[in-house]
Amino acid sequence: MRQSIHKAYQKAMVPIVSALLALALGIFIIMLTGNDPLEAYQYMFGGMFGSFNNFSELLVSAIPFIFTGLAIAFAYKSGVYTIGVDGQLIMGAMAASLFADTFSTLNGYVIMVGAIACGMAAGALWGAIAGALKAYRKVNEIVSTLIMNYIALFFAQYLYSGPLEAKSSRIPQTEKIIEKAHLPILFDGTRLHSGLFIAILSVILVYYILYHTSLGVKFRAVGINGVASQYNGIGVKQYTTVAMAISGAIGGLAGTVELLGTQFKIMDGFCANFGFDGIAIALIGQLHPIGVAFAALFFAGLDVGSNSMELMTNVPSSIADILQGIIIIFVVSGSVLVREQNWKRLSKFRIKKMPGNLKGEKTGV
Amino acid sequence: MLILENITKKFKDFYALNKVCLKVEDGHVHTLLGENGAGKSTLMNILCGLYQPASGEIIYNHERRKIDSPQKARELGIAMVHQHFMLIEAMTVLENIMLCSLEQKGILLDKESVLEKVLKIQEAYDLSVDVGEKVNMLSVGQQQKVEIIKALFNEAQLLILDEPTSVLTDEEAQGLFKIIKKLKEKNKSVIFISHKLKEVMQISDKVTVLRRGETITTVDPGGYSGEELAGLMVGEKVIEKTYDKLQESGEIIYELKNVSFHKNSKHSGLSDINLQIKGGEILGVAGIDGNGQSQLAEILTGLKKPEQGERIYQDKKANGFSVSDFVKNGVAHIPEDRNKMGLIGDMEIKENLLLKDLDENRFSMARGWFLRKKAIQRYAVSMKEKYDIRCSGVKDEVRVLSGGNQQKIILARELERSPRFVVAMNPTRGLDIGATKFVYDCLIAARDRGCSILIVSADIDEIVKLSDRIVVMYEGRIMGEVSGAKPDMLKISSMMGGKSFATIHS
Repeated sequence: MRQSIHKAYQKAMVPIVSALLALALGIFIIMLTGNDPLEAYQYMFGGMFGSFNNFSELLVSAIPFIFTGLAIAFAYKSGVYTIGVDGQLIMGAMAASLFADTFSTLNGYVIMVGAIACGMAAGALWGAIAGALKAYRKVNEIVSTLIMNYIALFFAQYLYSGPLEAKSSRIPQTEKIIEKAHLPILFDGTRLHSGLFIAILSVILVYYILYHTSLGVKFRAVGINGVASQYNGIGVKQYTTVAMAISGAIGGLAGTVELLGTQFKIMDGFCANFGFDGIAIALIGQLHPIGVAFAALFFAGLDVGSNSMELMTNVPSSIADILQGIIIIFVVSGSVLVREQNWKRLSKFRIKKMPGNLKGEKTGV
Repeated sequence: MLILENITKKFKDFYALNKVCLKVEDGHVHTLLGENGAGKSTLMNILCGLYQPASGEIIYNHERRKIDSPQKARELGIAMVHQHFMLIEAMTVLENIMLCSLEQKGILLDKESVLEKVLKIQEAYDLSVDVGEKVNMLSVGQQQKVEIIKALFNEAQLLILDEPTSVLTDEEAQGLFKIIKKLKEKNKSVIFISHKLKEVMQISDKVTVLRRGETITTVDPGGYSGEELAGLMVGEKVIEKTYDKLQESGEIIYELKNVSFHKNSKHSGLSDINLQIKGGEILGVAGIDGNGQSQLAEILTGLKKPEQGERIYQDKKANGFSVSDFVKNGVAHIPEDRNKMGLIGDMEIKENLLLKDLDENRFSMARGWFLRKKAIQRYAVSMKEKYDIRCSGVKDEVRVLSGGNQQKIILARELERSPRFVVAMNPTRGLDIGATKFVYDCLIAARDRGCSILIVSADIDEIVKLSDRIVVMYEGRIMGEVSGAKPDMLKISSMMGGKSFATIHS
């Protein structure tokens, strides 16, 4: 037990220290822009926690990040290095929108559930295609998902500027989701909607599946060592495909919840790059569902906070992007150091720079 | 001329090389012959400057040398063509040669003079490769030529070819031998590493046999037959028979009928294999590594499907069985590479122990959806004790364990499922004496419970010690069978060298 607490502590320390270091570096960057860093940070954190309303906005922006981060983390844990969450997100949102439009006469809750189901199914399908291509045809998933992102994006564009274009609007966009199908608002006067619960539920579910079911053990086994998994009778191809379907379903859910909870219509720039942000969030969250949830909150906080900072001072909000970038670099390089094995390797390398080490420790004697 | 004197190399307590001596004359092809683990690669790595010997001397061209880096070796004119080529696939042949050129000083490339020199080398040694072609467009045989050109470009006097034919077709191999002859004519020396006795006899001037890190002898291959060479390589082993052999075996549990797989590939294929595995016996598969043993194991465990012939398991036709079908029907597998094939290195011991059984009712409810964590923990701890797995706890990640302890995890996982049939590939490779004995005990105990076991091993001692029946593989075929009770060692070694007894044996 102590061991696992120690491990969790080690894992959590890297992103926390990275974030603090990045914020410290941020001081210098803000000084370079000729502003007072203290004041800037004051408004930044004020923008996050200054009022209940501010905090609720933070949560609203965190919700889609939680989903996209989870989608990436699940795929990476299963050994699929997807960047296709953006495509799955837009496909999911389109499917959800189509369902909500088509069945707009039904009960609001029925529309909600149906739209969510459709969104997840569309995302899952979109993900599973890339997964199956990787598993059965050895198509590199980074390439296939990148291209499928564009296909999804342009397909959606065609739909909302063509056959599914809202009749009342001049800007190409989908029909607005009928009000009774909006996700219920949790607190009057805020935009915080019940998608938060879906996000929390997803975190718990993904955590449970990955770490408390035999399915999760197998997904992770395939992710770490496909050959050994195959030798142990795990159907690597099927698991790879299913992993991408699940990742896609979560990606589709991201788009659907965003559609039903905050945006209500799809137009140019809908959730743009949320999937790519998901990669950063998953890495900062150490690919662990609970870590992902915190990383998403932090990311959302930087977004919301930097907006308020920009509003009140002369510091541009792009500072937040710079901080995010710095944190990612710290986390990725920090994670390498935390692994004891790598420490050993490093120290050994320093002691005797023996070229024999190039071949690793285990020599085929 | 190269002379190695009393070269010793230790890895921890293990002597990889013990006072090895070798003398390579100019213009000679000198073969190093030995089983896996005999120390051939270690010796060559010392020559290339990758390892430093603990003691001993390297005398090269009448001078004592210290080769403390690969660069040094290259400067001395020692070049190695590795089994896995060191080429950059996306670059052209010429670019690859320029990359490793010793003459290249500064950042400016003199493409013209490089090209000129390369063309001269190609002409002199008959190494025809299109230098403008990208490496990934070349066949394996051509890539090998590029490696040789690279070596010659840097004025190599001594070329080390590490199992060069293992990747080649027969035709390509003959082409390589022609090149080697040309090298000889120009008074270059070649150290040739191979398991394949036929070609060793074809091209060597001298053969040095290594066994367990020691030089056994250096001979003229002319005076020896393939079988005799195999005998030297394997050694006349003292057979301490510590395990009782089976008196009577049961019914056939597994049968292969005329099974073929990649039939034309002699060293990674199977050709018309007929094999019966009987209940409760240990069947040893002897043979020099790379004669189809891995493929046999893959066919038997479902990793590969036979291209021709029939696979019959427990009286059922099992041609279409997948790995998990075999696992469900009681087939266990101790694979040849425990890190790559056996274990998930970054996962915990307990997860690895139960990789195949988590869906079982004992360990979970609803087929794996609710794990019984306590039962899993209890089981893992009991396995840790039963198999004496030395670790700080069953939550340790398996990659931090020693090879012996890793193998024990695999044994526990595979044998505790009470399998009907076990395939064990080189089950003690790289293990120390204690762990080796433990593995033997486990396998014999499993046999005594009535489980059938097929052991593949490059170590003939191991085969003889454990097997109730022994078959020998050579170039994807089964050459014949001997009894495990009093095995005819001469017959085994001649079959390993390629002589067939299948017709003689009734």
